[in-house]
Amino acid sequence: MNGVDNELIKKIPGAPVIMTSVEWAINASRANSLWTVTFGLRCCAIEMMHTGGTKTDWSRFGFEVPAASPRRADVMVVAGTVSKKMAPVVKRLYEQMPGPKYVMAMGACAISGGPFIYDSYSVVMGVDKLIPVDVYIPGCPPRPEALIDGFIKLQKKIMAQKIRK
Amino acid sequence: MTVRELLEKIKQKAEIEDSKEDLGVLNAYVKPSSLRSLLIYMRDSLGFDWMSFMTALDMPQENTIEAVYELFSNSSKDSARIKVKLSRQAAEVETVSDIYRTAEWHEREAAEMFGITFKNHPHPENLILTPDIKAPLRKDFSGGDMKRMPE
Amino acid sequence: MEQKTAFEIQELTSDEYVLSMGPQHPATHGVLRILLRMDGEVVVNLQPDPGYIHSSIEKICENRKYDQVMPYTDRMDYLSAVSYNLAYALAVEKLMGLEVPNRGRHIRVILAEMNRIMSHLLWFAAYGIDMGALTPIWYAFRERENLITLIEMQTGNRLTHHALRIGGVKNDLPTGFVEGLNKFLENFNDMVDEYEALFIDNVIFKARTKSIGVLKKENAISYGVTGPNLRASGCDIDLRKLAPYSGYENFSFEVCSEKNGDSWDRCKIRMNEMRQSASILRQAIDTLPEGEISAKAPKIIKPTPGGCYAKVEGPRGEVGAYVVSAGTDKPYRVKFRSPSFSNLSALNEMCAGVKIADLVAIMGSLDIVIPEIDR
Repeated sequence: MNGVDNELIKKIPGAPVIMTSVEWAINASRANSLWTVTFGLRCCAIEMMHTGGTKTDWSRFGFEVPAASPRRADVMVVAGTVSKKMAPVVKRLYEQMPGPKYVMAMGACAISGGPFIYDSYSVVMGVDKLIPVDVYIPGCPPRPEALIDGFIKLQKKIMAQKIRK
Repeated sequence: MTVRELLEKIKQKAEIEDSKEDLGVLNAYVKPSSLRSLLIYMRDSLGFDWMSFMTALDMPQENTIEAVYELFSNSSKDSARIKVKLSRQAAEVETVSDIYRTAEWHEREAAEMFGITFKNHPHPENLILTPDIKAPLRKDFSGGDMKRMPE
Repeated sequence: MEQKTAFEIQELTSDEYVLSMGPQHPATHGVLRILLRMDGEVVVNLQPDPGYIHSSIEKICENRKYDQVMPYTDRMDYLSAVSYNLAYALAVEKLMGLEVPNRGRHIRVILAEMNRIMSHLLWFAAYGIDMGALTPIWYAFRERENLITLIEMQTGNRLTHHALRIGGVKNDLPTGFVEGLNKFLENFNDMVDEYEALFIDNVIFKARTKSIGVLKKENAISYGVTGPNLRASGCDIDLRKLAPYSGYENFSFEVCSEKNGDSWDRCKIRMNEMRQSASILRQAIDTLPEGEISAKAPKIIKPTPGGCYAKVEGPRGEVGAYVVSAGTDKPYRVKFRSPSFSNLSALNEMCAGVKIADLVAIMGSLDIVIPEIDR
């Protein structure tokens, strides 16, 4: 794979081996074992729990462990409305996560404020006003299949990263 | 008991400014000074052991804020709504949180949403709002970067 | 002053400190912050600090038309969305003098009881995780997926379904709905027995919940606690029997109540309520009448001026909507009475002198949902 002949691989003693670039190996290990911070705020949290349930199982893709503490997590899935009282907490949690870290904005409230754009005095209009977002998943709430689609897009984004500065 | 009987009974105990029947429920406007004695009488003698909620209504056209107390009797299934008219500039009323313990949190919420002061309340701090937003449910509120929905 | 030796110092004392069980915590079921004053590991006093998900829904509702308010009622307590829809619809229909036809009322009861089972199943899953049992969640979610598929068939959405309209229901029951529901109910009672034996009758669970978090009857009524939490303390109050609405007087079911008021009783009642809801669903399917599903509501809804308070029995307790109309096409004021608001205010009463692990057990047994506290 990655440019090396298959027949050549089978002749190497101790085969099967994979020969690939360091960049692919690091990106693949990052993309296939993402640990999420359980940050369900509102209704989208229930759809996130269903995505981890038995019908659509997200641990097939590597999101097995919901790490409750941000200190050992890779992805923050912001599922729900961010209010102004909660905004400093979101920022602090993001800063507590060690790099490389990714953020997914799930649902209309986290993308832009959702149904609370007009006549509301206490809602932050989208979580990207506080922290940088990698993937946006629209819906109110998005179906579990839509959330899995978002995760796969994040995996593709990670696979396309360059590790050399 | 019927609305009329209930009204007669509470007229003996408190000064009723006005009253009306709204879809079968008595709405009685009492003076702020006789609110506590009326609620104690209704809880102990008339069987209204349940307070569903306590909230307020902003009436800028009459320059008042009405505090609304919704009571229910589990034994006779009667409802009653007691209202107190307060001035918009200085809205103050006695607390009833020792008569019905559920009123403690409801009064805290009404205080921060409408700018009402409840005298002798055990914990008069903000419950839900941040300190920079003041009395948002009044009709003339416009802070907090609020955008009105276009027609 | 002479120095005391180690043998003469009789007791060790500890200082009190304040611990913040912060907004992001896996056991608080949402964004709730609780300030605990602790003495070692024992909780001396606690003070809930809600407001981290406040979305100003009551201010929004003053600038929307009456039927535009209905989707916002789903998003307050997303696990009992049908109860909030029902409370709001009943209040507006009473102000307008609309009468919902029989088939519409029946369908409302079916959706409400399905919602009750779904909400209790999610409580079962979440409580298991709080206590450290990681298997109940898979069983509960398997059952929940079956019901969600049926609700999606009827309303079009899995969560926040906007199932009801002012005047009745939007869609009639589609083909396949009644067969699907019958298939679900065939095995449901056996499944509930199995889940109860797995989790509620477990020795460790009983040791962690019996005599923990006792709430006495007078305190429960005075604090406004409703739902299974009130019925565990010896009160028989269920609004479906006390002040029936939407045709509940035509169904026969028992009110589940217990006497001790501890956490184990609250759990037992929720399992029994699932069985009673299944029985109501069977009766509703057997006696489904023909006819219209919705009353003829005008295109622009303008109720007569006045105020109306309507209450229903949701999975967590008394859900109410107080609607004040000034005669225009937008409500003057809408106030939602949420059960978790009053249930949480009684937490300090139940938690004097318990350890933190017991605090998690008590909070889980209260079954609170945070967005309906902050609205």
